[in-house]
Amino acid sequence: MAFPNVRLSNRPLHFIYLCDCSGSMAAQGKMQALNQAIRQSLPGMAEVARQNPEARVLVRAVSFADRASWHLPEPTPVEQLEWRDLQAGGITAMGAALQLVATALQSPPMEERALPPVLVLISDGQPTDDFDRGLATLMRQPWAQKAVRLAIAMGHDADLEVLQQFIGPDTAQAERGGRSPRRPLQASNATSLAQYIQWASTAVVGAASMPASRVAAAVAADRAGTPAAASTANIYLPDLPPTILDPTDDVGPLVW
Amino acid sequence: MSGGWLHPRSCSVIGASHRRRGQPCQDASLACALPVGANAVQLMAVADGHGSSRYWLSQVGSALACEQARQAVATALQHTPLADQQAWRRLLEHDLPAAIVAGWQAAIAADWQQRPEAGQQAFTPATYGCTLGLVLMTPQWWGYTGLGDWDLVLLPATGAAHLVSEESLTATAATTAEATASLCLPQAAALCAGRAGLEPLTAPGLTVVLSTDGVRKSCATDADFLELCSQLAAIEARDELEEGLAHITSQGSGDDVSVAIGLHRCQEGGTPARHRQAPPAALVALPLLVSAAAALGLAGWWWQRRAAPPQPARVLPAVVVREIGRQCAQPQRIAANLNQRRPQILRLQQADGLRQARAWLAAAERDPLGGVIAASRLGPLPACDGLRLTLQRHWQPRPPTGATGPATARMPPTSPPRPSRLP
Repeated sequence: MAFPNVRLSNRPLHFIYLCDCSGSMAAQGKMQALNQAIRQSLPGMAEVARQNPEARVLVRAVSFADRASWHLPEPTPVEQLEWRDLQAGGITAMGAALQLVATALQSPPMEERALPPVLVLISDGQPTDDFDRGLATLMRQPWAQKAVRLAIAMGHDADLEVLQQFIGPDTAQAERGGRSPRRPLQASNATSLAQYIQWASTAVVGAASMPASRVAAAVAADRAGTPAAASTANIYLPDLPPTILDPTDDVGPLVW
Repeated sequence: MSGGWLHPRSCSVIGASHRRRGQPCQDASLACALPVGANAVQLMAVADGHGSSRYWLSQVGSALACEQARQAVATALQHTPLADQQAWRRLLEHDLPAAIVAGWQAAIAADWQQRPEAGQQAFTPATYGCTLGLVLMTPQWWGYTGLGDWDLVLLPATGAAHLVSEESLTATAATTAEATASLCLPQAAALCAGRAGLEPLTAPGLTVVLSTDGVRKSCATDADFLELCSQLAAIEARDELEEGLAHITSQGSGDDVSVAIGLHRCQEGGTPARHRQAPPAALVALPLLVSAAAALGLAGWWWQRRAAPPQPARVLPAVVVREIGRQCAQPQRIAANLNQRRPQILRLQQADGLRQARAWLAAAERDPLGGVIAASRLGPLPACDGLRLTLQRHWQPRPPTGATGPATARMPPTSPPRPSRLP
């Protein structure tokens, strides 16, 4: 009998899109741009997955409008993923979407040995349901707390405050100012949206695929104030891509 | 109770992910015997450097953690009778961790002072952050302590394998992905109390397996992990262990992987021929009397040969035998000749080193000295002492973390340790 004669497995890395499909997304080609950006990002994401065989990248997507539902319900290996277009129409049940994701992040079905999930919330507006309740439900799940949570604001009507609540506080960066992936990324046109989606699906997935052990936040509490301790990040996020429009700018070549 | 601990085994293998990125192995491991009067106790330890950029010297931290564990246990053995189990329980919970943490902090501070970065950056223990788990095996009991995300599995003589100790973070601490306690924390010593334990030996035949988190995270389920631990206990050859661990990390977590295995076996006719009993204290103490590094290498070499299963005589290619003779005829040049081949030696220390060694041995006609090096990677070499000991020193990890047998030397600050392995 050869050693080792047991089932070995790479670690699942769950990547979940939470996509705003409200009626406003139909305007100015935003929904088309989102579908295009996600579709175009898939080959790069698959390549990153191929380069990191220790991680098994599994993609899911939630759409929310009048209600939240799984657009892509099964954790799908990225190399097998064929993106089906989202359709816009309705209001913005963002809170319900967070609750839906919370159910998926329970253990089980989440595997104990999974890598920190990556959650990407994309929205162009304000939640019309109980966002706080949805966020509270989500954040009760340990896997949600461990997750890398990113948010992309499409256009300037997005509620940056709720998106920041989803991400969590960015104390260190707030002190320093400037760009930060721990603040909502403002995509004001199709190009910057595509860049952020590409960044999240490649650079972030790459970083999340090779996590290093780190000192537990609570036991390191007395080290608060040091840069690493101040960051509640679960992985060291890579730099943001250079964009046409800096996410902190509030003027620029608006398309949306 | 009739029985005794065999000499423990330990092994650290670089993670597939780290190897691909050109990063060092940040794990370290230790397996050694320590003399106590007329007896000897066995010690094994694993340490896992945290790895990310903030902990950029964690591979040094993990090696020093293992060494400090050895020193602290050796000191405690001089002052506390093994029969006093209550005292040892307190030691494992409090005093040993305190001594290890204090020694580790002093060691990393000293290491930092020797680095060029010391002039430009402030020293912080986090740079060297790592976990540490250790198991001490004595004739009447075995105990463990440490902190971090290592796992300790017990395989009783009868009954199912089970986890004896695993990290259990508080709910708040567990909100950080891949979170673990660390020696770099100010309260590190206190955190060890929750991971310490002492178990009286009631029957022979048990096995304890200590491993870093990369091993368990590579297994599809915990049942697979426990089964893997059972299989580890049956591994005889170090090469097989190394290759198996390399396979585990490449098919699993990609993380560095370390295991340390302690086996307690019957003495009367119950000891399998392949497992030799740990030697008496007098023999264990011998290497401690030898202060020179060369003597340590000799002891380690002797130790390994003694512990190794009997091997059939090897037939070396004639060109290799001739090259051995040529080198031994000019012993003053051996060190220089081998120093020039350091890249080849490092290459053979990679995960696929055995395969590479076989290839170089087969091609010894083109590179006779390379063939000699390859042959020494594959097993003991019939050569003069000068060649044999010089090769042995090259094969020893830098710094020696005591992967097998005694090892105490410190490393130069510019030379990070490699996974502990011996030819």
